[in-house]
Amino acid sequence: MCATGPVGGLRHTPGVIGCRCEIAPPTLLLAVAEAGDPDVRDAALRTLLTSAALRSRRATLGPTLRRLGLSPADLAFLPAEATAAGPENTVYDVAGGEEAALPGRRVRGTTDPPSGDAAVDEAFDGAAETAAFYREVFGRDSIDGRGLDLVSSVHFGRRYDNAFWTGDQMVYGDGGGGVFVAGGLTRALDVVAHELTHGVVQFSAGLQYRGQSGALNESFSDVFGVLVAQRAAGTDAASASWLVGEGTLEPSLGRALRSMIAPGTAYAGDDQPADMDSYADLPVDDDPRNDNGGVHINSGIPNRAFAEAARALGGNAWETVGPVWYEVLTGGRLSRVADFEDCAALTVAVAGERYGGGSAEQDAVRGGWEEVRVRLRADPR
Amino acid sequence: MKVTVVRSGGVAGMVLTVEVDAAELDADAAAQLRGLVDACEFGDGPPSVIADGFGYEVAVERDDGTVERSRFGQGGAPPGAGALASWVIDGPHGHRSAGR
Repeated sequence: MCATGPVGGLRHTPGVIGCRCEIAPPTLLLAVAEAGDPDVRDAALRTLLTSAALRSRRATLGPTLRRLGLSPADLAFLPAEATAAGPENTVYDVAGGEEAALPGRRVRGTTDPPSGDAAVDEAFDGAAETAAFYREVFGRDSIDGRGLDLVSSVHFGRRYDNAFWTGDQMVYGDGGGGVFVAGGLTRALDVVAHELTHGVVQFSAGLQYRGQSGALNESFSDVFGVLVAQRAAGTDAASASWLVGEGTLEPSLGRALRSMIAPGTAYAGDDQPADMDSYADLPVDDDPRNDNGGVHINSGIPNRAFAEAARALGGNAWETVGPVWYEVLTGGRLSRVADFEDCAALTVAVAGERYGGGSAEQDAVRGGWEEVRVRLRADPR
Repeated sequence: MKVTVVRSGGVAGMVLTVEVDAAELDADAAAQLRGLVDACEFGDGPPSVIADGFGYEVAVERDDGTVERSRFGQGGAPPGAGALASWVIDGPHGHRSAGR
C-alpha cells in the first residue's frame, strides 16, 4: 500500500510518488534518499517509508531517519504494526561505540534464548516487562501505542554512566565511571522503564524538555518507571520505597537517584525540592548546571504529589492513581508546555471523571498536590 | 593550565565537576592534556535533544589567566571538545566533586 497523508519534513510531490513499494531494495532507497536531489529524495523516501519490508523494523532505521531530519513519529501514517505477540524486542551490542555506531551488532531477538551477556538480557527483559505493563494495565500497544519495535543497544561508550532514549531506541552504558555501579543501569527495572517512558511521553503529550513541562516529562518517567517495578515485584503503595534507581549508584554517593516520597534525600547532594516553597527557579539556558531549567530538580514536586496520593489510597498504585496519571499523559488534554498547575488541575478533573467527584481517589489526588503546595485552580466547569 | 569539565543531566540528573591542573601531572600526562587542548575547537555546540542526555561545559584557564570555554550537549561536541572532556572525566587525574 502507499502513503497518501503528509509526512513531516517531506514535500508533497504529486505524480512523483510511486506505489511499487517492493521493487527497489531498501539499502538502495536509503542511498538515493540521502544523496538525491529534492524530488528524487522525496520520492525515494516515501517509497522507503511505505515499504512493507521496512514497516516492520522502522525503529531500527533511527540513525538514518535522524540524518534525514525525521523521527519515528513522522511514520505515524503507516498502519499499526502490532501483532498478537506484541512488538519485536531486539537488543544490539554497540561494543564501546557511541552515537555514530548505533544500533550496533544484533545479539538477541524476540524469540531468541538468553544470550549470557547480563546487559543484553537485562535490557531485553526490562523492555519486555515495560511493554507488558503498558499493554496489560493500560491497553497501550508498545511505546508509541502502535506497536513500535523495542530496540535497545548496550555497552555504549566506555564506562558510560548513563542510559537514554534517543527518540527511537534505548541506549545503555555499562556504568562504572564513578557515578553508577558497573551493570547498574540495565539491572534496575525502574531505570529501564523510566527511559522507555520518555518514549511514551514523546509519542503522547510531547512535553517540552525545559522548565516545568520538562520537570513533568521527568516526573511521568519516574512515576511509570516505579510503577513498572512495583507491579513486577508485587509491591503495594504502602510498602513501596518510592525510590528511583535504588542500588544503582556507587554506594559512597547514596542509595538511589531520587526519592519520590521524600525528594532531596536520595543521595548526598540531592537538591530536589519537596514542595513549591523550595522550588528551584533556574534559567533555561546553555549552562549545564541549570539542567534545562531544573527538569531533574523540580520533578521532585510532582513526583511527591503522586506518591502521596498513592499512599493515601493504599493498594496497588498502578491500579489507583496510575490510571489517572496515564489518562492525563495520553488523553490529549495536557499541553506540551503544561506547568505544574495545569497538570494538577487535569489530574483532579480526570480522577473525578474516572472515580466520581468527591470520591476518595479524587480527594487523594487533590491532597497530593496540596501536600506539595501546587495551587489548585477552581474547576472552570 | 587548569581544565574544568562540568557534566550535568543524564538519568541521574547529577552535576559532576572534574578539574585537572597540568601543574600536578607528570610530563607524559601534561603533554597529553596540552595536545588535547590544542586540538580543541572552543565554541558552543548544539544542546542535547534527547531526554536524559548529558550537557557539558569545558573550560580551560591558561597560565596567563585567559579562559576559553565550550558548552554542548551529548553528541554535539565541537571538534576535539569531546575527547578533552572524556580524558578529564574518565581519566585518573581529575579532582571530582558533585553538586551544582
